[in-house]
Amino acid sequence: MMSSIKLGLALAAAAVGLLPVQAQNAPGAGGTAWRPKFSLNGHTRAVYTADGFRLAGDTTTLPRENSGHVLADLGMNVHPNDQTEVQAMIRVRNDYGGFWGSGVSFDVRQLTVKGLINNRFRYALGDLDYKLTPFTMQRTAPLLQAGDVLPSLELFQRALPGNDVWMNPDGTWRTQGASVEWGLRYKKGPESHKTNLFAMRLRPALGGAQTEQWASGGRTALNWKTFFVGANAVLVQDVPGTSAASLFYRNAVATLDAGLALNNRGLKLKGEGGISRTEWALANAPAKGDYFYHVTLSGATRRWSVGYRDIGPDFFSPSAQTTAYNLTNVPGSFSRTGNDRMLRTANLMDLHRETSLYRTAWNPTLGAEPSVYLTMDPFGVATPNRRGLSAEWNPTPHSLAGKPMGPWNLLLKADWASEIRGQGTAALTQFARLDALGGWSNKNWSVRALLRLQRTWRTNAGENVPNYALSQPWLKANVGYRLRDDLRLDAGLWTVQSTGYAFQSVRDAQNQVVDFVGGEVNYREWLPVASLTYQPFDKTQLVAGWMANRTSSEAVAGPSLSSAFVAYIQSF
Amino acid sequence: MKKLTFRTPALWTRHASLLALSGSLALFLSACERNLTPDGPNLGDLYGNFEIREGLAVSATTVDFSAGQTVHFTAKTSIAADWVLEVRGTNSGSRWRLEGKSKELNAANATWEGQTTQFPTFAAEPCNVKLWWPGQADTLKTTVQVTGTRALEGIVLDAFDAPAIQTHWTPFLQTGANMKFTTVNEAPRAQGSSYYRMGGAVAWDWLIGMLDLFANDYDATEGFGLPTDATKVYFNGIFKQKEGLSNGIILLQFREDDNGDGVYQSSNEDLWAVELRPTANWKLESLKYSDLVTLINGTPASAVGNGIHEPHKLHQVSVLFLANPSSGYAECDADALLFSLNSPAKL
Repeated sequence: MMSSIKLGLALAAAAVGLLPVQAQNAPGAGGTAWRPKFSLNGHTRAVYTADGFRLAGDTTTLPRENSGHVLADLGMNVHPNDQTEVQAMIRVRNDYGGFWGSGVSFDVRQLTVKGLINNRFRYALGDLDYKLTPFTMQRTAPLLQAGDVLPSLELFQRALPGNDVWMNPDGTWRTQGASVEWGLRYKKGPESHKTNLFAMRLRPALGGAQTEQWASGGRTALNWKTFFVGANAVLVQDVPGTSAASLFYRNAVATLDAGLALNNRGLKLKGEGGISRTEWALANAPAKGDYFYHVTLSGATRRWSVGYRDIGPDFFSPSAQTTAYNLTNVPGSFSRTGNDRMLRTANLMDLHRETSLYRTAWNPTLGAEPSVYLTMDPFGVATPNRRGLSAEWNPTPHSLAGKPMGPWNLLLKADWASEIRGQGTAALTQFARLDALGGWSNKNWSVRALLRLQRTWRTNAGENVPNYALSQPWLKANVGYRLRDDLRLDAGLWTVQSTGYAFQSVRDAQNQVVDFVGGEVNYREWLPVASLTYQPFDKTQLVAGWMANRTSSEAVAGPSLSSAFVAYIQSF
Repeated sequence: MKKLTFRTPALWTRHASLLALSGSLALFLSACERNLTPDGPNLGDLYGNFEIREGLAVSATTVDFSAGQTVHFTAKTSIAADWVLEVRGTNSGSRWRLEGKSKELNAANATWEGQTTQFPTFAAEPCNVKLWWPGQADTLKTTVQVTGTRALEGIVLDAFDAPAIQTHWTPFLQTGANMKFTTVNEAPRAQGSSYYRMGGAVAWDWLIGMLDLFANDYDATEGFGLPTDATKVYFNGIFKQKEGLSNGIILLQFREDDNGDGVYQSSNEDLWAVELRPTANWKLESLKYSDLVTLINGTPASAVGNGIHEPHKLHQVSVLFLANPSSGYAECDADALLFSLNSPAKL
C-alpha cells in the first residue's frame, strides 16, 4: 500500500516534470548552437580495379577484366525550421569509359524527413536506419565480424559494397517507412523511459502483382541507474487485399531484455529472452513457434564475459537472422568461367568488393548459407537450433575507454554449442570454436592476427551414416608500417580451410528441412592483400594495392583471381 | 496516528527482483514444449549400400485415361535415392517423366494420370516404362497399354483440331510479308490433329497479328464461366517457336469488365497480361490468373482498374503475336488454349 502511494506520487511528480530525453538534444530545444539552413554532406569515391583470372584448362575465359568508376553521393541537408530536418541524397556515377555521359547514372539515394513535434516526439519519415536487439532486428554479418585485422580489405568493404547498401557498423538495416520516438525523465523511481515505434513498407503490391508486406514494432525501455528492462517487438506481415492471394506470411517476434550492474567494478548481468511465431503463405505449411534466451555475465576490470544461449530450432526472426550478404549470388567480376561457362561461386575477395553479393531486404526464410567458412552461427548470434556456452577474456590491461594501455593486445574467445533438434537423426551435432585475436604495435609498426579454430562433429547417427567431422581453421594476419604520419604500408593474408566430412541441410521456403547433402570436404582459400594508404586529411584516403584469391576444392585447383586497385575515398 | 513513511527499495531488493524476473522468464521459456522430432528425412535412409528390394511394377497393365483411370508404379530400394521414371509411347514418341527421391515408389509419389512432359500427347498405344537411379547401374523396365487418352478438361477456348479456326475468334492481321495465321497439321504436333500457326514479317510495327475472343462470342456467359477466386484459375496453352528463330513473342491479354457495363474501357478497367517467348520445342505454359500483372511496354506497372484479379469479370482474351520490326520473319505455334480450375492443366 505504502509502495503504491509512493509510486503514484513519484509518477505524478514525474508527470509534472516531464522532460523528453530526446528533446534535450533536439534542434531548437533551447540554447542550441547555430545551424545553417542548408548544408551539403556526402561521400565521393573513385575506384579502378584491374582484375586477372586464371583457371587450369580454361581456354574460353578472358584473363583480364578492368572496371572503374567515380561517384559522388551529394546529400542536401535542409532545416526549414528549428524543428524539421530534410536530408536528400543523389548519387551521380560515371563509369570510366562512359562516352560523353552515356555511362553516367543518377539515383535518388536517400530521402528522409526528421523532426520534433511539440518538443516531445521525434519522428522520421522516408529512409530509416533502424535496429533493435540482436534477436529482433540487427544486420548480422558473421564472416565480416570476426575481427578487424586486414585494414585495406575492410576499408574496401566499407567504402564499396558497405556504402552502397548502407551497411553501418552499428548493425542498422536501411528500410523505408516512419518512426517515432520519445522519452521521459523522472525525478524519482526509474531515471528515464524511452520508447520508439516504427512501421516500414517492405514490399509494394505493384497493382496486385504481389502481396504488399509491412513490418512494424518498436521498443520501450525503463532505465534505472544500475538496471534497465526493455520490451521489443517486430511484426512482419503481408497485407490482405493487396493481391488476390488468400494465404499470407506473418512473423512475430517479442522479447524482453534486461541488464543489471551488480557492483561498481563493472560486473554486469545482461539477458534477452523471447518468442517467435511464423505463419507461411502456403496451404498445409504449419505455423512455427519457438523461444530463445541469452544471458551474459561480464566484468570490466579484466574484460571478461561468459554467456549461455538457447535458440529454439523454430525461432525465426528474419530481421535478425538475415545475413547482410548472400554468397549464393553470382559475382559481377568473371561471372561465367570455365569452358562450360558455369556461373562462378563467390569467394572472400568478392565479398569485400561486390555490391551484388549484399542484401537490401530481409529474407523471410533462412535459405542456404555456404558451410565452407563456418557452421556454428551462419545466421549470426540468432542462428536457430543452437544451445551453448561462450566465454571471452582479454588479459591485457585497458583504459576505461577500452583502449589497450600497452603495445600488446589479446582477446580470447571460446564457444561451444550443440543442436537442440537433430538433423535427420536424434544424434546432435556439436560445434566448437576458439578465437585468438592479438596485436602488437609501436610508433611505426603494427602487427595484428586472428587465429580461429573451428570443429563440427556428430557421431552415431546411424549404422551406415558417416560421422560429421569438419575442421575449419582460419588465419588472418597483417603487418603494417607507418612510413610517415599520413602514409602507411600494409601486407596481410587470410586463409580459410574446411576439411572433413560435412552435411548440409536443404530447406524449402518454409524453413522445413527436405533433404541433406553430405560429402567429403577439402576446401582451401587464400586471400593475400598488400596496400599503400595515403591519408592527407581526416576522412580522406587514397589506397593503392593488390589482392588475390585462390581456391581449391577436393584437392583440385580452383580459379585464381587477382586485382590491382586504386581507390580514393572521401566523406564530407 | 502513525506517520506514513516511504522508502526507496534497497539496491539488493531491486537485484533480487531482477534475478527473480530473469529466473521466472527462464523457467517460463523452459516450460514451453518444443518439438524435438529430428528435422528432414532419416539419415539412416539416405546412407548405406544401394539395393533394389522390390522391382518395378505397374498397378494395371491397361489404363483408359479418357474414363478417368490412373495408373501407379511401385518399387523399393534399401536407401532413399534420386530416381527417374519415364513412360514413352511406342507409336507417338510421347514422354512423361517424373523425378523424385525416396526409398519407395507408390501411389503417393508415382501416379500417372495420362499427362505428357514431352509432346505430342499420348495416343492409345503401348508404352514402355523405365525406372533408373542416377549414379547407379540398375535400370528397371515394364510396359503399360494406354487404351484411352486424356480429354481436355476445363474451359477450352480452342484446341484447333477443326480444319479451320473456330468462328468465335476475331482475328486481325497486319499487311505484312509471308503472313501465316492458320491451322496446320504437320508434325511435330502437340495435342490432337492440328494446331494454330502465327507467322509473318511486319517491318513497321511489333504487332504481326492477333486473335481476340470475347466472352459474349464464346458462350454468351459472363466471364467465360470462370469462378471468382483468381488463385484457382489457370490459363494454359502449348506453344513453340519455329526452329532457328527466337524473335517471336506471344503476348496474352486478359481484359476485365470491372464495372459490369458490358464493355471494357482501357482508361479505368484492368488488363492483365503476360509475355511468352516460346522455344523450339512444344511446351505447356500454365499461368495462374492471380499472378498475371499489368504490363506497359513489357514492364510490370500499376493496375489501371480496381487492381483486383476478377476472372468472373473476364471480358476478352487476346493472343497477340509480336516481333521486333527489324528482326524479319517470325513464327510461333499455339495449341490447346484453355482455362483449368484448381490446378494447371494436365495434358
